[in-house]
Amino acid sequence: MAGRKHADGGAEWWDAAAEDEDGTGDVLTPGGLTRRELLRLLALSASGLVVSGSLAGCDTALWVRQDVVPVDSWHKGVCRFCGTGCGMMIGVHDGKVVDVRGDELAHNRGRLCIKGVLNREILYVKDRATKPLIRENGALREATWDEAMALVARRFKESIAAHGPDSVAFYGSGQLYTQESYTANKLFKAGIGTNNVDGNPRLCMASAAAGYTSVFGKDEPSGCYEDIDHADCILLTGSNAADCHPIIWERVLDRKRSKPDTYVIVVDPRRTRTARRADLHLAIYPGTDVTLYNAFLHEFVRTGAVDREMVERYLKFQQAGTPPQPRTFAQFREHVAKFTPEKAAAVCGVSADAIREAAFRFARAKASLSLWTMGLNQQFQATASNRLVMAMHLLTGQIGRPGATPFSLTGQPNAGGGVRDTGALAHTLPNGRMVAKPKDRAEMEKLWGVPAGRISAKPGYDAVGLFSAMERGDVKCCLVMGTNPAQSLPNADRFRKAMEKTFLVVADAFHPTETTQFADVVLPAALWTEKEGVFSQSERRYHLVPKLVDPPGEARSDLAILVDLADRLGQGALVKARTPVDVWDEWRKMSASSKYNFEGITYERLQKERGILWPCPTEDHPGTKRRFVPGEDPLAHGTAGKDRFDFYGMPDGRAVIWLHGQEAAQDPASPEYPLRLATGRVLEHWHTATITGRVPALQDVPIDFLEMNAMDAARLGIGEGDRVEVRSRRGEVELRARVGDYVRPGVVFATFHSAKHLINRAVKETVDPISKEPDFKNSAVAVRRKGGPESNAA
Amino acid sequence: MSAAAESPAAVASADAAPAAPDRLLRLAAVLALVGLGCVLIFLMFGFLPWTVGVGLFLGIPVLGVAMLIYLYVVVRNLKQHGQL
Amino acid sequence: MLPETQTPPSRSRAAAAAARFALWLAPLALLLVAATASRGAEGGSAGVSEGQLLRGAGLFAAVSALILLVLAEFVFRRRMARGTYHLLLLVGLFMLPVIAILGASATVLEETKTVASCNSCHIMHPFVNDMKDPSSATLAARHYKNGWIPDHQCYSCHTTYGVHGTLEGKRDGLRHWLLYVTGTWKEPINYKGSYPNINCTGCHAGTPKFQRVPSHAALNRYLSKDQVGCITCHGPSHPTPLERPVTPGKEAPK
Repeated sequence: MAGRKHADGGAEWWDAAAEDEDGTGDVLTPGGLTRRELLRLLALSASGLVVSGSLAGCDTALWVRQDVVPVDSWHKGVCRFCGTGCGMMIGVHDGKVVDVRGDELAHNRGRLCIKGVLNREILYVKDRATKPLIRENGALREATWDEAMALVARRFKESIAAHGPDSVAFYGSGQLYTQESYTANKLFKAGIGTNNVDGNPRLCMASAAAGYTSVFGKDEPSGCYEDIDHADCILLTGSNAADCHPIIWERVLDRKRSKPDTYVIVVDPRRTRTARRADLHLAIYPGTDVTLYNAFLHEFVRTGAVDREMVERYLKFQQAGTPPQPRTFAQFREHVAKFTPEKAAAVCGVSADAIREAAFRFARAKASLSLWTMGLNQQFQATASNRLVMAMHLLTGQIGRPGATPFSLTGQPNAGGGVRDTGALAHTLPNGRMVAKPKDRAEMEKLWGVPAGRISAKPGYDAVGLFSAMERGDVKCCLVMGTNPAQSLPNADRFRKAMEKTFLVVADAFHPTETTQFADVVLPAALWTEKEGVFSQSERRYHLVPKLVDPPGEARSDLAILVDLADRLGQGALVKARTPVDVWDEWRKMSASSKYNFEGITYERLQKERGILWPCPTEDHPGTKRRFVPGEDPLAHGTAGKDRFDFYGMPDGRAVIWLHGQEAAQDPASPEYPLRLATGRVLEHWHTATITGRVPALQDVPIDFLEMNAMDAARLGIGEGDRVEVRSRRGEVELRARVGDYVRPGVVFATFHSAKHLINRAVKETVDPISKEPDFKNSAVAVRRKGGPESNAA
Repeated sequence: MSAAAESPAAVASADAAPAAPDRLLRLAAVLALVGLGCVLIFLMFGFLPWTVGVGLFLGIPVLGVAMLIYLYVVVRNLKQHGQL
Repeated sequence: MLPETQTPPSRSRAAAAAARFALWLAPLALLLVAATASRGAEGGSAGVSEGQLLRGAGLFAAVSALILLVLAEFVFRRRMARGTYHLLLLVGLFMLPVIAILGASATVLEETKTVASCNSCHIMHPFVNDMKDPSSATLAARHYKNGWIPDHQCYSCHTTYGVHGTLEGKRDGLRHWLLYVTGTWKEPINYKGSYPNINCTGCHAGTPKFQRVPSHAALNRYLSKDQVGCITCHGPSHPTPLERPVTPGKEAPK
């Protein structure tokens, strides 16, 4: 090999220096590389490594997989829909919400249901309200904000001047942010001076609130979602969680998957998807809950499952009534002795053995959890049922430790924090205070800085009472915010007429809705991430929804509307806090004076953390999983490990076990109306479907059906898919029959999603005498075939 | 390293293996030894983070380069001898 | 440099020596094949899989090629006939390396399907431990526990690597490896991009149980385009960041 003289004179790369020097030129250079070339190569590979190393940190499409939906930025938020309150990451692209994902770090562990997933679309569906509307000569016309708000303020002022403050009202929603409900409550109760502040939570949570308040002295469940992970027996009563709280239901299933001998009991007249997965399904006859739970209590006493320490140290007994009568444990035992499983079986329509089995499982499990929602809350004896379920836990000591708790699920994203905690109901004041108590009123007057006596001593109208007052003409003006009472109230036709008579201002993100058709003024409202605010879900978790995009057209946040109204009504000085941050700070600091103390939940923490469970008195407090337990709850006194409870909501620290008897149905069955109608939801839609009904993907999910048992259907000559008419003493609705084992014989079920086939025309406006919550689950109806499946649906 | 430069050696002993190795072939052999060693390590120790690096991300490319150089030399020589 | 047909006698001895030496390779290689096969068979499956066979062949080829190259290039080159030298180079520099590369590729493609190979990076331990935990309720654990996927459980749901894997899959493999060996990955690790639902629907979509659910019909368009992941409702497939131990030296998720 002829020596190759390198132009640069460089030596060969291995021992070449010596060989080159010998001048033969015949150098062994297998590499054929000069030192310079080698250095160049080394530098190249090093830079390659550096590049790939830096690429490891960047997300170019060449280097990292990309999402199918392009997203500019992800933001932590909360779902707009139910009371589960799932944390989600919200993806924004070009100023629009385009994607959502479950937040892995939130309690839902990254899960969402179909409604959660479709949050990405709700802001951009049709019929978003974009301009204020004013009714003129019977028709709504576009107006400016100033014009609309001036009209509202003028009519409210006139009414207050002519008929007193109680002639105006606010009808709110568990979907408003805490800041909004708080401000509305303050404006009406401390500003205008009327307690006519109520809302759709009255149709939803009022019975649970009344139950908790009367048993523990303070509202809201004491446990948390995490208890599901520790429960060995889970009782779902009046809850179709599989459809209505899917992510909570998944957590229940997870518990069963982890520990297959976890015993799931479902009490429901319907054979729901929830009931199908249960180990024991008690398909009781509607309205017989009180008998069933009394039978459980009887079994606890009979089998020696009563926790003696609970009875001696932490409980007291009271006979329901006005006023309540104190009772002893012996009297309680005597009372429940009447409810033997055999007697209960005859009333409830389930076997005595099944009742005994359920009671045994509940009492003897290491930890028993009960979950309930509208099936329990929307009944004539709803508060009684709530109290008795709580009594089951208290009597057996199934409370206050992981997995053992009576836990009510809320239906709306902010019925708890927004409405129950802020006291935005007709009979309540913030943080568990009561309108009827002079001391509570005086406290609030001081905290709000208004003259003594400003807050009216007279509780306002509850939901059904409010619309009845409109019917009578006692309430002249009403501001409806974020809800759709024309569809959600029972006996719809009656209350629609009432709305027609009233000067109705409706603030909503959508128009038209069933309610805006009766509105005199429609105010376009921002929805979800078009505004900022705090939600609180079933487990007392306050969490933040950020503002990410601008509302459409001229729509404004409900808070802005309320602040504007306050100014125009001359209450501007009262509503000093005008931004979500300021209102939250005012509210947070106010809570420090109460047993709801969450002063430690600052806005900064809300922005950073995945929500915090109150009580949380200081900024370094992690939040409370189980209330009333010394050592866990910062407000509970006592020694951890020695004292099991401090029910500090009660002056004597003792929770109440209430004695209740079974009462008859308020809309009795008759030969003419032999069936019982219950209403509810399906998984894919939410409440009056104002939002979900407009999401294109959900258009084909059936909602206009009537579930009925095959035996009833056969007797009435009704087949699957037939057109049927559901008729009650109030009205009738046409639906499609869905025949099978969906409900127990004698019961039919329809959803309240459909505005076209409005089932609430048929529902009776019976309310629970204590909570004033309507009974949507037990109306007397008749069903008649109108045509075969081939005939056109109405 | 031009073909002309090494052709005298190649022609000089047509029947015997060249006394002085072809520089490219030697490079190929060295690279192949390195590459094969790396691949062997991977094959012996199985799928582990470090064996993947040594065997797959280092060994196979090096071995591949060796093979390419070898093929290049073969083609070049075939051309030199007018066989291609 | 054509292979010569005539070999001078002086060279034939050297060639014969090389050939004899090459003969020694055979039993050695066989031993290696046997050892590999027995290692691969400890899972309980009888016989030798294709992957194991190719791995054995690769081992044989690599060892043979190494020995052959050393001998041909550095020991016997000067004593060898030109033709023998070129023949041995052809074998040692081309044929055997091809087999070795094939063997290595087959090994990597086959072996990466096993759970054990995924578990060889300690980052994966929490995921594999969870999958094998009978009391875990994650999707992975349920599929494992109930025997819904009999074998190669990781690969069955993460099909982008392996023989039929995409180019993206290979790139991801390289990226993951780089991140791993340089220790530059960020905790918590998370799945990048949209998960291909076909991995779920391939088995599930044909079942009546799947088709009965109105939500599936409603989301059909989104599911087929991976705009909504099946795991959105049915997850989590693995422990969430908060449920995984934090790798020492890395930051815990907030």
